[in-house]
Amino acid sequence: MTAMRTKTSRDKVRKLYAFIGENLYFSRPDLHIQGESTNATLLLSFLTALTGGKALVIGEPGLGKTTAAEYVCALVYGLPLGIIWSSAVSGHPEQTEEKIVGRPNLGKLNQGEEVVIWSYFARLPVKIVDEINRLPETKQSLILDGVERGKWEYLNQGLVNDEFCLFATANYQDQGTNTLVPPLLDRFDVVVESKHPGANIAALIGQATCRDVVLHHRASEEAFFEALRRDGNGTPASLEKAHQGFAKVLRQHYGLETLSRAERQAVRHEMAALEVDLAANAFLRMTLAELSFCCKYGQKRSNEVCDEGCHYTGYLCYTVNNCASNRLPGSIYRYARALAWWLGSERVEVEHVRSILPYALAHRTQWRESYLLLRERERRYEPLLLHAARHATAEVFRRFHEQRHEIMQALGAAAHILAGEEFMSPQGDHPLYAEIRRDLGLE
Amino acid sequence: MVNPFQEFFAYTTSARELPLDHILARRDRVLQRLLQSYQAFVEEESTQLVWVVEQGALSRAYATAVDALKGVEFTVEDVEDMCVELDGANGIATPLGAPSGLFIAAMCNHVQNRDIVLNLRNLVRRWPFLGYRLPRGRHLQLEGDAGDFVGALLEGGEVTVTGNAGNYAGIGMRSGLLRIGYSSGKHTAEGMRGGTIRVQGRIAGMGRVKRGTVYEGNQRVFPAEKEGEWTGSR
Repeated sequence: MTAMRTKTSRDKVRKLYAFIGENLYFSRPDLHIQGESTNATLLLSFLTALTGGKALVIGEPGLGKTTAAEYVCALVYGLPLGIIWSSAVSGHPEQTEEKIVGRPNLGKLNQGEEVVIWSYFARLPVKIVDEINRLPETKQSLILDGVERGKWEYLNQGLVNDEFCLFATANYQDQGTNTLVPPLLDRFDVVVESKHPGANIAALIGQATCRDVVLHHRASEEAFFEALRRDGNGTPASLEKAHQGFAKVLRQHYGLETLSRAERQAVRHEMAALEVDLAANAFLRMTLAELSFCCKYGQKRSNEVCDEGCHYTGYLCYTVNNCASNRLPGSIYRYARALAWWLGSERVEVEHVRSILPYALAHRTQWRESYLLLRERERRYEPLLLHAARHATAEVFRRFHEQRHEIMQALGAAAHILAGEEFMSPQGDHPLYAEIRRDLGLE
Repeated sequence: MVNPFQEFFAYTTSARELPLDHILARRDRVLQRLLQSYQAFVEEESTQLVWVVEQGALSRAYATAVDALKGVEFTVEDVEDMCVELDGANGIATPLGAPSGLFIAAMCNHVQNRDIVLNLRNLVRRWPFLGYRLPRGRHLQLEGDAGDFVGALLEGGEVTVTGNAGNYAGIGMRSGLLRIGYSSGKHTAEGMRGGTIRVQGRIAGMGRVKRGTVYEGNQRVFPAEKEGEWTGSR
């Protein structure tokens, strides 16, 4: 029964992906995994919507950063475009908490009662922040908690989203943009660039006149607005009827089957149930060790620079300034599981982790300037940070490929030693061995 | 306390065996066998103490080398390894000029592969008798300069020397083809009874040729294209 449902849900989602790819978001495939070629922006948008993740979509103006997120969310969550547009928050310096989170019900306030009217952004499961880097640094903290936990607070009242996904778009630096603060950046699971599709595909985009009409259904939108108004702080569950209405429209007009709330939950359970195989686990440990280890200072710290000529110069710990956050493995597991589910794999394998890593690393890692200078001059098809992250991933993977057996044996031996058995203590040159020895109390 | 390695508790494997380990082990085994054969051959021949000068000594030594190789399966790579081993000053085996060359020639004539390439450029010694009695259907390519007696008593095979050859190249050859990329030494084609020798560069001196064809560059020097025309030094 589960297998059947998985197949049905996956089939549905893949049809939605194909529909968007063929009709709404024209792009080049740029992610190749297990014999499949997909567009990374579109695929990661789908995985974000399905897992309830957080994606930062970067790119030049007009290259479909917001559009991709809107189409994906409209179909995965069964929301007409008009509703998604109404709930989106645009990043600008004058943005306020009242516009983002909620405002007082003035009528009730006149009667001495404090009641919050939550914004559509806070209430709906789809959250899109357009041009997030136009929000000043001080106002970025307004959405920190909400972005992290789906928990919104205003006037001592709270709203918790039990299902949500977040898309934020950001242009490259110009006069009107601000720096995204590291705590906010770290809360995004992945970063992906919405790329130019190339001259030939771009020429097709101009010819398509009905792109916004497809998912823009006035009657359905009225039904949603009515439901949202009627139940002042209604939860998504109370919108079920409106969802069903829009789903029917999509089915009748385009033959598309959207996912119900229950189906989305089931998909998440299926993804979470996918086992991560030992090799993928070991590969992730190797990566985390390289991104957090420092033989001199105990761990990486962004305010401490490691010395020239360190024994571990050849590893990533020498090329990064900051320490990998604890959100990083969570993001990688979540998206690697989602990718494995998407591909119909029975478990999460090294290839899934390896494919996701660059997107999870790029925005979180502060690279050494010398490393970036080297990467900057290389031929590439991605923005520098993503290219650097991909290069770093390839380096770690090469080391993993060479030492896979020894690393896994060392981890196995460590498990036995910690259980009180007599085993040779793991020895090796990689930072992971040093981390293992630390955990065993040998250093 | 949480055991952060718990997932790997059941991870046990036997010692990893790389294909390369197998290959190296096999080559070591074969090389040992070849060295033993070589030692047996040298011990047998050392009692004779007479080389080349004595009538039939070469044939007898070659037959001993072939006997010593019986039952040993080896490849071209093993022949190369053996060359390197014999070339090393501190090798297990005592490197002797003529016996070593004959032994290598015997290996070339009995190796499974029919096309054999030996890189002589990295070797210090110039083994004589390489290509000795190479039978029909085999091609021996010697990269670099060859020593004396290259292609001696050639029996239909093809020997190519990309560099220079020493003295007595193609001595007594019966059939086949000996190509020399640059020049050959004195007594080239001595006692030659058939086949073809092509020397791209200069022939330092011709031997007493009985039959066969010898070219120096594009010019046929034996039999001479026109009687008395060839003026190469002797």
